[in-house]
Amino acid sequence: MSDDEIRQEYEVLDRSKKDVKAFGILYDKYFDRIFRFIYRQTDDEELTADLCSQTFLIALNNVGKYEFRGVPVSAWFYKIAGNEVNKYYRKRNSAKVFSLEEERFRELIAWENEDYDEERLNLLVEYMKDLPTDMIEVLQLRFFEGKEFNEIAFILEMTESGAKMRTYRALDRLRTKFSLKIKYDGKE
Amino acid sequence: MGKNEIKLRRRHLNPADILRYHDYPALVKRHERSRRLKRVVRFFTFSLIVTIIVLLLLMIISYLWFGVKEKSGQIKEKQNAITLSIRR
Repeated sequence: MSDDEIRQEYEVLDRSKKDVKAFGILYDKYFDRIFRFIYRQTDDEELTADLCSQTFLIALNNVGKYEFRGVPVSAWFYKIAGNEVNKYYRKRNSAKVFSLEEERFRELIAWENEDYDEERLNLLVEYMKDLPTDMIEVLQLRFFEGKEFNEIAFILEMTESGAKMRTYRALDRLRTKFSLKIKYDGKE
Repeated sequence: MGKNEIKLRRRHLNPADILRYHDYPALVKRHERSRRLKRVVRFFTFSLIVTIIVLLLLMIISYLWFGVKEKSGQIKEKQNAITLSIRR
């Protein structure tokens, strides 16, 4: 997203401080993405719908408090959505669910020597379950939501270098344990 | 069991499925309701604070008022005692 586009979106958000209809433009644009983002962390459509609606309600109620920080407005929605999901799991006191598309997963990883191996994939998933939640969150944002590091930093309330570090650490763990190649941005 | 549960799913979310939950007018209604509620809560909080301040002021004024009265009474009593002793 270019700086101009980011600015334009911010202007729309600024307008919605006085005109609720203006917020509808952002709602229409991002509802789908935020819904998928939450669904990847709940695997439950009804729950996702509730949390998604709550996310946009919080955003609309707090439009006046939003400060421009050079990241797309969507990063703010992701941040609220992530907080709502975490609040839900804290209340339930249960393990967080990550429901990831297998197809995308296959696209991302490539075994170094062999072809796609179902058994090793299951082992990889089992191993990932024990990764710290914040590492999986970073991986999800980077590889499933396609977020830039500055956006990830904003969403997870950390520094950009911290977000990079956490991503590379998580990737290193997977690479060394499973001799994987992770493909993204057209590179390996 | 691990810290997290990771599921790999084959099913993709259909845009039509998501569209079922897309309802901006309902969101605006909820927003208006929460704004009204916020206004009511703010009004009550403000009234409560004002009441507490007024009560505190009244307590301080009455304390000062009775304190002054009591003191002036004591002074009068003293003055009376002095005049009595002088007459004797």
